[in-house]
Amino acid sequence: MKPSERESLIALRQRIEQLSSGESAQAVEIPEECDDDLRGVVETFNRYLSLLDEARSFVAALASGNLKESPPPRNQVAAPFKQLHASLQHLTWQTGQVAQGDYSQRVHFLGEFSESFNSMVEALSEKERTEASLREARSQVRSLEGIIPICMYCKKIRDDGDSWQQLERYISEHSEALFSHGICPTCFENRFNK
Amino acid sequence: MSDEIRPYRFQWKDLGDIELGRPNLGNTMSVSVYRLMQYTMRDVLDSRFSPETAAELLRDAGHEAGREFCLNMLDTKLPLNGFVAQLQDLLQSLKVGIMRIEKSDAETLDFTLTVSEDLDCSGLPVTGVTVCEYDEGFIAGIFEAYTGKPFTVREVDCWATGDRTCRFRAVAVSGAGS
Repeated sequence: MKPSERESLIALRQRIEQLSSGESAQAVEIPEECDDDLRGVVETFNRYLSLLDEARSFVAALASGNLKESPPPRNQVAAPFKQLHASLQHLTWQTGQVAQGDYSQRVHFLGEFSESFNSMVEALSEKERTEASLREARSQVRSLEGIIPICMYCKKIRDDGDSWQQLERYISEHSEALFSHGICPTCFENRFNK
Repeated sequence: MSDEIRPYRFQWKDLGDIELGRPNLGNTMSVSVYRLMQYTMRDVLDSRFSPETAAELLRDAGHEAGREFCLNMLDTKLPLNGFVAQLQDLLQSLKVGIMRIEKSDAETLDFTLTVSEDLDCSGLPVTGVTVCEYDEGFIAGIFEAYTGKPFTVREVDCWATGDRTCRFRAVAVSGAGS
């Protein structure tokens, strides 16, 4: 073995040790005069190193929540992370849809996350339905509020159109109350026992 | 009796009454058999014409299938979000694939979606070449039938290129259609 080939082998071993301990590593130089088998090994290692670098850079961005970093194309070392990236992109879209009030989407085949997410969307949808029912019910209930102008003598009430209405009619039109007419003891006395 | 082969135009009713015709075997079959048909068809088209023409013909066939699928199986009156949810559910229940939307712009009709565990290529050997032209056409046909506008669909990532999922970009062709 030539000294330059031996140096390449030592360099290869160092690079593999660096990678095994989580460090980054530089490509190994191919000596000018080199055995074909060794050249093949170094070239393959350098190709793998390049794929690994791309994958590391992509995963680092992914780990920091950056989904805009495009997955490296034609890189199988990063393949499982591309799948993760695709799932996260889809979940981001789903969450955006829910935020806009679209409860028709569901997440499938993402394990426990699917169950939790779908339960959340169903609960939100149910909450919105309940709120809509309450709003509807509230709009049915009419109530009298504020200061009502009333004639101090005949007790008619002035409405918004500036006309005067009988007290009973005004209250019936502005509330759910109805009137049944009777005579109180005082009026009875005044009217019939004079 | 004439042996003349007449020109053929697909109609949905040509799919036949499968319940009547397959009372014992039913409506499902092996994915391998589907792939056997698709890839031998590709082989013949590729040999008779060229790889480019084979891809174009498969895309056109997918397009027609997508249009018919949309018009016969989907409710095109639904709003976009409901339509997408319905499409996702149907593709899953028919075991075509797991469709997931990644990005959507309802204004410009620009969608990025993935199809995992798809019929055509999931689990294929990695060859470095995308193979989902039929699916490109299928997706374009569905969106065109729904929106009434022509779509361009291209596969960005493919299982066969080592990407573990098939990612498509579907964009309405601006200034065209109704």
